[in-house]
Amino acid sequence: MKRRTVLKGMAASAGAALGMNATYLRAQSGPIRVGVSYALTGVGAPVGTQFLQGTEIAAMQVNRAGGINGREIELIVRDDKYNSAESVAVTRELAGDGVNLIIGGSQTVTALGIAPLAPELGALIVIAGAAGMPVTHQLFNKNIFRTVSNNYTQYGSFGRSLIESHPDVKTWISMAPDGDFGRDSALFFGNAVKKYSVEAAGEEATVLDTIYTQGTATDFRTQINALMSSDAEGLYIGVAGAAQISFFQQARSVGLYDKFKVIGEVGNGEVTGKAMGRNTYPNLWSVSYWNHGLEPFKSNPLSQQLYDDYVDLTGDPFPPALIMAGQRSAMGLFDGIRKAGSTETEEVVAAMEGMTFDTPAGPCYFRPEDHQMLCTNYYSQMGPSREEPYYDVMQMAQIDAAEMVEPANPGKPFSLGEIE
Amino acid sequence: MGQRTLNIGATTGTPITVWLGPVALTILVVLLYFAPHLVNPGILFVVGMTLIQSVFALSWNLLFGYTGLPSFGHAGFYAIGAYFTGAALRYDFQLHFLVTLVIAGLLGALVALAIGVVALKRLTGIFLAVLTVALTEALGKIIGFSPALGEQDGLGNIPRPIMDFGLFTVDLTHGDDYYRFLVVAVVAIVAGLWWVVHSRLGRAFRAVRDDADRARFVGIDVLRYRVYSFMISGGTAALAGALSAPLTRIVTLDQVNWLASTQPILNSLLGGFTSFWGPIVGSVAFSTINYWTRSFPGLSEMMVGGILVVVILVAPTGIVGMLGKLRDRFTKNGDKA
Repeated sequence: MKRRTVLKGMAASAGAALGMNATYLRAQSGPIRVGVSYALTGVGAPVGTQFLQGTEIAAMQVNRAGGINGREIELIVRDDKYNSAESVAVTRELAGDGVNLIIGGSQTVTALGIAPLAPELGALIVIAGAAGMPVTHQLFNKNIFRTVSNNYTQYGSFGRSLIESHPDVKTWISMAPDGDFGRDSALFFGNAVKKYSVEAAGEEATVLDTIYTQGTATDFRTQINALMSSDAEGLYIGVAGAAQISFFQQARSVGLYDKFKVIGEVGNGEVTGKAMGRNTYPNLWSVSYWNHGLEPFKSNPLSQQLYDDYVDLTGDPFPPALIMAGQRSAMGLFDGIRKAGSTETEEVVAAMEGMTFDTPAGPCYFRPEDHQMLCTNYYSQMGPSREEPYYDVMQMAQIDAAEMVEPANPGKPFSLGEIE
Repeated sequence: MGQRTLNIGATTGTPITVWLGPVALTILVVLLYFAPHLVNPGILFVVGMTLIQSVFALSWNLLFGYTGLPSFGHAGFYAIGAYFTGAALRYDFQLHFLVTLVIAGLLGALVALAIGVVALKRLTGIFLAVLTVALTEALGKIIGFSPALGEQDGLGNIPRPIMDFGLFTVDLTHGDDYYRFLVVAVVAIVAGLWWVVHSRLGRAFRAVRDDADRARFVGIDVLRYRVYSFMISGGTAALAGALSAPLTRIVTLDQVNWLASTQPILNSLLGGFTSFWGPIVGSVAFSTINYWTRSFPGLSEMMVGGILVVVILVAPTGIVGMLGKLRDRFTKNGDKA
């Protein structure tokens, strides 16, 4: 018998004696398999596909640097179809195939389906894009980590940022979709405007009653009429996607651009800029994540590397901001694996609790109590431009999420009354 | 409209064909029951959802295939069952799970009764179809504004039940145990529907479907039987929804819109609405295509769309009808030989 054969036999016997089976041995030596479940078709696809590009760039960057402890990252990508039942199916399938580290939940509807599954499947799930409050409150379990600001922090920070940069605007109004997200975001925005106006302007700003609409509306004549006849000079728009573009197209033609001194929007960002071009509202502020050409991103090498990798991958010199959110979510998990020195769920969970890691948007931190990631929240100012792409992002404002986040209350419903 | 059923359990044919159907069905049920030992949790979940979709499609086909009444808003009944069961488990209504399922089914049947009594006398065909769509859309709006039902986010984190029978308890909190309960429940519901369509009631449904005037002439109360069919169909769809809530552990507005209502229609057309088993075959085919194409976003929709076009053009009676034609051709050739 050859010596190599004998050694192999001894190794196998030793493995069996330690209770390790072949699958376990293979799992510890091959690539690190990470499941990815985003909305790649359906109405959530514009968000999910950008998250996926960012996550793929993160894996590419890690692999280019030699992997984690010599092991490459292998992404196993699935489409949750922006559907909660489908997200449950693909997450169960990934876990059934032995994948215990999963990034998913590019939107709240799918995150709410997969978050409760994590303990049952023995998996760690990074909730990448869902800002709904239940994720880190009543649905919290120790196996999930959220890598995006929740609605309260995001839209509270937005309101604070706008009133601090526009203290002369005394009266504000919101137009939002008539659903829980629309009502909540308008409420959190308005509350922050009132609270921080006292310090910024010396008196409390007036926040008028929110005007509601349908999230998929195409005709905004009634709402625009109500906005034009109000006393407001500052506006928050909670409708997104194509509906927001329709709103701006209709609003521009009736002089709404001249009435309002500032408009904040929910996060359409470049989508609105590309659609409106030279007709972009001149002082439009957006919930944003990243802009490689502006500070503080311009001087951040991680940000520049992300931009270069995106351009190499796609040939597109104008990356959408959500790319960074997808890359950051993956980097949080990869750094957790690196810190744990293991891919076992329990060990990576322990490593990520309280972990600080670097991102293209600066350092981020996982709050140990509810696994909510705290970073800096960014808001971009856009306006029209004479040069391609005919809109311009002029500056970024920032608010530290740690100053605006609600106290950790894992396992219990979020209650605004207990905070304010 | 011609009606075809597979002769499972029939007393005609050769001894082998008489026993083939029941034996195959028994083997299938046993395999389904022991599936947690045979497949991974992902496939198990897909199988569980396919069983639920099969019941949902059968409920739709009882109305359309057997009574000739189209419903384009059947998701409303499914949602009634799903949301009631989800709320009962989430808020701990202190109801035995079997009682919860019965109430869910009754709720679906009662809503169908309300629509039926008000509308079925005059509203048939496209008018009934539009009315059911309106019901579903209205239900979606109501749920969307109900904080207790999770509004736009849906009702999540639904716990699985533990059934107390006094002398013993049946714990369904683990996914595999709930799946086994699901198999038993689905077999019972399918058996019940099989009995309905092969009973005097089912014959009355078919008589109403084939010619309502002639059925009335021979003494069948057409309105009453249409309402019965609508109630059984609505109740069964609600039961399908009720069974889904503990499996997925979340109920959302995805399940309360016109798109969700097309699923049982697609499954029935794909499998064959002229056969009792057609909707089940369609549900299995649809799930299989979905699973095989899961790595190629958008491909499953294109494949299902393409297959549906082919089925409608080549075999309007669906997969089961096409298999029946092939069997007939094979048998004829065999006879000639």
